[in-house]
Amino acid sequence: MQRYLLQRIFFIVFSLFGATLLAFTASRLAPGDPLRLMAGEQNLPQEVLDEWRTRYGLDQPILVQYGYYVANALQGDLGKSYHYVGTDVTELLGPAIVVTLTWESVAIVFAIVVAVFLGVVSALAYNTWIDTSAMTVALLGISLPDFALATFMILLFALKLDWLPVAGYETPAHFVLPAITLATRPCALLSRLVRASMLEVLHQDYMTTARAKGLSSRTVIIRHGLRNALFPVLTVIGILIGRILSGSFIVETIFNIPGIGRLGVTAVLQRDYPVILGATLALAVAFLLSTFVIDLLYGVIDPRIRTTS
Amino acid sequence: MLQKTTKVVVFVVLMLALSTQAFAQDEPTVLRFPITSDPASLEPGLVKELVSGQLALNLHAGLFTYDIDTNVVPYLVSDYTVSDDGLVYTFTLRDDALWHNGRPVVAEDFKLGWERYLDPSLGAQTAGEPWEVVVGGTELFAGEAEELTGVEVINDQTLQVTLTRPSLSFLQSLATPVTWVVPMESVVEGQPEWVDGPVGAGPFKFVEWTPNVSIVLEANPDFFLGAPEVDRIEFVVVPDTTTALAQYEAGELDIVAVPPAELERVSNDPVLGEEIQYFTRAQIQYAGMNQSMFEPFQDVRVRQAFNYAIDRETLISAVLNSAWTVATGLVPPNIPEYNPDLEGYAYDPAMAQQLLADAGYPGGEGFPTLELATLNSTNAEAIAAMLNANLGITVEIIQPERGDMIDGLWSHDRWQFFLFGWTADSPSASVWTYEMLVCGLDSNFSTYCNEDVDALVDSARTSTDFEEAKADWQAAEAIAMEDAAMIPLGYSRYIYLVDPSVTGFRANLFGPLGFETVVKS
Repeated sequence: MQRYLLQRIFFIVFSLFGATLLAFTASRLAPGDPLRLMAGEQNLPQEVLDEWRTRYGLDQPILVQYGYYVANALQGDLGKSYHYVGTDVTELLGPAIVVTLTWESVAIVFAIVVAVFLGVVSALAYNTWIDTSAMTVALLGISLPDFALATFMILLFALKLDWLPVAGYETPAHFVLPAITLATRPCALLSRLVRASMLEVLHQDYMTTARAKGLSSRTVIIRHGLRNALFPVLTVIGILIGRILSGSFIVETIFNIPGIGRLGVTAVLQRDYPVILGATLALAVAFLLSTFVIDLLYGVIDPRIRTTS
Repeated sequence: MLQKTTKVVVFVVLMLALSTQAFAQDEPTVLRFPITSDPASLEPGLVKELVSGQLALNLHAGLFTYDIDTNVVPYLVSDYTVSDDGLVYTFTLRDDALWHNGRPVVAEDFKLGWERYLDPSLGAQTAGEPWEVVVGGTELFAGEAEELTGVEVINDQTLQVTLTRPSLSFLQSLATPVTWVVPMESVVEGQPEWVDGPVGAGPFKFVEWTPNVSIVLEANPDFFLGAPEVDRIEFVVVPDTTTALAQYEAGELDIVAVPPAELERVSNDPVLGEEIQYFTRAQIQYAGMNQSMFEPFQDVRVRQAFNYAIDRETLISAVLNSAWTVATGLVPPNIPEYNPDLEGYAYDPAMAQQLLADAGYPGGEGFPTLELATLNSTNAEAIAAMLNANLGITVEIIQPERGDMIDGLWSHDRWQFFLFGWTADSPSASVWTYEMLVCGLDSNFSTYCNEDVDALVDSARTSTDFEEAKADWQAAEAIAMEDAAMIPLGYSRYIYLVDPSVTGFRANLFGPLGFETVVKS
């Protein structure tokens, strides 16, 4: 177990290096000068541009810049934003991470609960109208891109019906539309998977045994059925959490949520290199940690893994 | 007993009703205005982009400011004189202006503030203009002096500035926030963004800045021109302009800029259509013909043919829903050197075909395929179609991302033909006629070059007489138009939706003014 943990932690650190190096080189190689973008369509004297380039170390070779970045990052210093003159990247990331984690965990829990419920009900009502309609809705959900769904929901629920606010991040009501937008696709995917997995499990011998033992059908379905059916689903949940995290870029921009996704989009458009890297790092950490936790959860769900490791 | 309880209940309910009534009356008026990003800085001397400029106009005050017609008008100055040789300016400051911390604004604040801006490590953009004309400015910026010798504090209310040469644009510089100062006691070293709260002398005081979310200001009751009507302004960060529009439609914002793609729907909407307000903007929209990248553009006949082949009226009315007005020159209206007599190029396909044939490409034959780089494909499609229909040439549209586009423009080696805008930071022809036309300048994206234009521009820039300079500017612009240095398309406008409950919203050539005149009912 210890060795396994060490391996995983090594892998996480290695992945973080990879992710930052990639983001670092890509953002700097992409055309677009952060200083020119700050000036917009106005003229900026060359001496001012040069002075800024030197100050931010942009006149150094990329690998040297990356070396400095890593050295500073290891000491908890992610640099200062170019756009928010003089502000530490960590100061910008902190509140944004809290915002994103808050509303996205709502979305993730919502997606999982609804998906498991729909999947189990469909499997139990296999080939009835309940099953067909649930799976049709799920197919629709998979096919709808986030931005289309978001626009549609704003039009309907905010502008026409006036039930919910259009955008912003002030009250819990502001969470509703973005959480549904972000949850819909993973939820639809997951519910189909739960259904398939559940169908398979329902025909296993141990299910017959459990029923023969005289257990109530609720116990059979939840303790013997669902527990085994969720095993393959768990792996997918890990990947889906990654999708949800990256989905925040579009959804947070549309619903104007001041989270890590919107911060990242604005930073990319402004070529605010330190903030781009900070956002990448934050998302990479969130993704790697969530898959790590899922891996540990296997052991909880399947005792066989615990004993062998 | 029961009666007594009832009485108490009635009393309590009454009191509650009264108190909520009282609260309702006290409820402050809040103006909610979207900004596309946080300001880069709340210090006026570090203003680099529109959002910072907008905040500065509400928080700060300077010696002069621009009014709604973009005239320079005294602000913190009550009176001023200029010596006959145009070198010595003596400013008398108002005696009723206070910083937000309660201390009176005095002449020394400006000397100290300006000296601070000239410290190169601060990164103020104004290194260069206007300080190069102030005695001692260049030396201080180069680190060769300790003091800005050309600025002298006569007494608390009197400030004297000596210039190295007469300058027609000096007062204009004093009217832009980059020369406005802050009291030295409020400066936090190494923290120019001032998250903790800036101190200014403007109509609104700083309350709170939540990065990425909003900036809140409140009315300054001691503002020297009288307390503003609105109690609070909330500048809400909304990077996506379409989201901002939807928020406006749902009543979550009071004023919003209309995104170009939504203009058609908004102007045809029976309700929204009534709430649109247009303001002239100091920006030209043009098609640039990069002569160093595309050889045929070196022939003036080709450039003229392109100018004649584009139907600007149709482009602007049918494709752009009148977001612009037709451009007849390079310098937009409301700029002092604007030339109303310039006619520009009429739409004349026959003339265009003739010129192209004269240049050796009859019916577009043998004319290489041309790439048009643009950030907005709608305009580009229309222009490509007109050029194809009228000249028989093939134009391929490429749509780079904004950062890529700007990079390529400044390096001159990426885009053969491009659609772009050029915006003023001061109301002077120099912005267009100098920056876009003079040989060898980086900002001359078309790589156009004409010695006659250069000579006239040079003479205009060094002239001390406004009328003489204006004549030179206009002559240079006329030559560039004759030369078809570029294809001027339109002068853009600011287009805002303003909620009917809001009055007194103003904008001049540079954008919205401070909100001190805004009333929200």
